[in-house]
Amino acid sequence: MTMTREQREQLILVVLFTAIACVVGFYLVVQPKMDEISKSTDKIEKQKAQYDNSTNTIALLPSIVAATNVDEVTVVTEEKRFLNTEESEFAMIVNDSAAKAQMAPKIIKWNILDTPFGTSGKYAERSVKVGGAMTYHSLGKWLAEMEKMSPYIRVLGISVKRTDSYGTNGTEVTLGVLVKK
Amino acid sequence: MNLPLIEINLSEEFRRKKGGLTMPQKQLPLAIGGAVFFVLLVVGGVWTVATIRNAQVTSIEQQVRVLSNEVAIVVSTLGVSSKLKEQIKELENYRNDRVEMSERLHSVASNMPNKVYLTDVTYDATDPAVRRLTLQARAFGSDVDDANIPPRLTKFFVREPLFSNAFSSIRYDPENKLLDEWIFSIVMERTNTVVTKTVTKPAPRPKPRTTATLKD
Repeated sequence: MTMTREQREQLILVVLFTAIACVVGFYLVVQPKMDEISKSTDKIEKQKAQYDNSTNTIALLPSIVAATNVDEVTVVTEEKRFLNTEESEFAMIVNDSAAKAQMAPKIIKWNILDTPFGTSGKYAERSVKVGGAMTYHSLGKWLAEMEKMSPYIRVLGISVKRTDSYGTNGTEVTLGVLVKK
Repeated sequence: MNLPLIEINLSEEFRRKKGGLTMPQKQLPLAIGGAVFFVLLVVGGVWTVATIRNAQVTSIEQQVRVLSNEVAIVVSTLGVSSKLKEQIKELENYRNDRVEMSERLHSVASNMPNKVYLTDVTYDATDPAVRRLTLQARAFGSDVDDANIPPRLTKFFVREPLFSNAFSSIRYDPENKLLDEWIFSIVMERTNTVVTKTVTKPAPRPKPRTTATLKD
């Protein structure tokens, strides 16, 4: 089975063309497609992971909603215990508690510049300065009345200076009241 | 010997006439055909796989997109939940950090020894980092000096949880002596950094003639 030179040349040419066609085909068609497949596979993996993640997150929703509802009720309940800090309303609260303590303090300074409280940005502390002449005993009774009214009122400052020998003192009390911003 | 002449003609035309194409000439188109088929098979396979993968990507992306709305709801609910938890914590902190001064003033008054009276009471908690209660008092009597009643009063405050829980440092500051009267301060302090309880004792002095006792 011998081939002529002409046949051999034809065969070589055909093989050469086929090889070139294969190489060109590989680089122009197969390789880009292979890259595309590889990228798609990665994308599928990522999307699957995201899908699983999303499914797991969604599964938590009922418990998160339940916990949020409980927290919401707690916050609303606690905020109902805040004192009304409108000037006239708060003056009434001070007067009522003073009457119970048998004394007559007066609001001498109303601080409308609230100090932010905490990091949630929801609350601030409003300070009110109350003063008058009173005995040490009546001061204690009045503070007890004020502190009983709400857990969201606190004493920020007290200044008691003896003014006479009958036990009456010049007193200034700074009260801090938690308010919603 | 008379040998017959054998006609040998190896030309292409002769062979074609004689017995058709030779083997390589028959297999060549087949080989080319096979190669083309193989190439088409590979390209087609790759193409098909790529198309299937793209379809899968599109499908799963769509599913994730559908879920993303629900995920957004969960995320926003989580945000609300964490905000509420933060608020609850702040409210708790406010309640827990409150020092009920009425109780403390009552305790100060009811535990003052007979020979001691308060002159000034100052409390300052306006700065969240520092809380300070200063009780300025006078102790009188020839038997009182700064080695007995004032330091013992200070010790009482250190032992009393009402004060020791609210103030980390309780100290006695002797200020002055006027005839038989001792002027002194008891300073109670709490800073966010210092967590010590100290009773500052004065320098050793001569023993008092009598020992005064505290109420309670």
